[in-house]
Amino acid sequence: MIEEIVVLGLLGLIFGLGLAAASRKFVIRVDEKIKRVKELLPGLNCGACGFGGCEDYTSALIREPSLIDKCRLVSPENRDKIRELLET
Amino acid sequence: MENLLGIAIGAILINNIVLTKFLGLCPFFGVSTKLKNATAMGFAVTFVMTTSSILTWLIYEYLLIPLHIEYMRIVVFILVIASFVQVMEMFIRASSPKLHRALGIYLPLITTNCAILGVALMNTTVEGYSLIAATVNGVATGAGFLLALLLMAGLRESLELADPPQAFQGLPLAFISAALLALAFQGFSGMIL
Repeated sequence: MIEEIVVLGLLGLIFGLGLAAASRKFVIRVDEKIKRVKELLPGLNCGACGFGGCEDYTSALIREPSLIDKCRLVSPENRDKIRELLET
Repeated sequence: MENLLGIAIGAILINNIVLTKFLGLCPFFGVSTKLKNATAMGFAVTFVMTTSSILTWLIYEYLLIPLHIEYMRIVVFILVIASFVQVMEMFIRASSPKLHRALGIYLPLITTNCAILGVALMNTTVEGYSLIAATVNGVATGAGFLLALLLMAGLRESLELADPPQAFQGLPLAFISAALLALAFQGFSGMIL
């Protein structure tokens, strides 16, 4: 019983650290604007906008700002902020 | 000493993981529409298969057997495979975002690709290979997957030009082609090395 827990815990820890190191190495530069827009969206991945998730929706928004009305869950103030961001 | 060449040829042609054992069918149909994506997918799977073959063998032999917790193998193997897939995905996303988009959901789905878990289990519990044989089996099975995927992608690219009845367009035609391809691979069975 105890061996299983220790082995799995240790392996998980080792792989987790390995992945953390790898994510540092293969860091991806994301456009600051995309990052900000994504933070302002609810992040629920509900799919009500018709896209695969908030990530997909964000990249569509960048290309076509008028799609902002598709999201039903974003608060009005965040919507205005996103609109402002997309216009600049 | 095991017959390494025999293991390799066996894994690539005679017991091809996709066309004879029917494992890993999801990416086989999902990513075989374009030759370029199929190549990338094949190499990604081969990489994960090889590295996880080595690591799962070591963990099984030196950790699970001494502690008598062999029954935990599937959980541990999935953990190893998932980690390698994650590294792979980070690498592809950083090096080629276009390829990352093209492979889409099928890239993270390598995690649950039964072909890779199947190889890891075959190496340890079913066949009981040595480390070298397990590595060879991993590389060769990956190569077999790549071969099957390339053949299928080539077929499907050519089929794009064909004009089948509407009911057969797309996936149905792919299923039938895969069946014929599997039938052709039956010709290798019984080959003695």
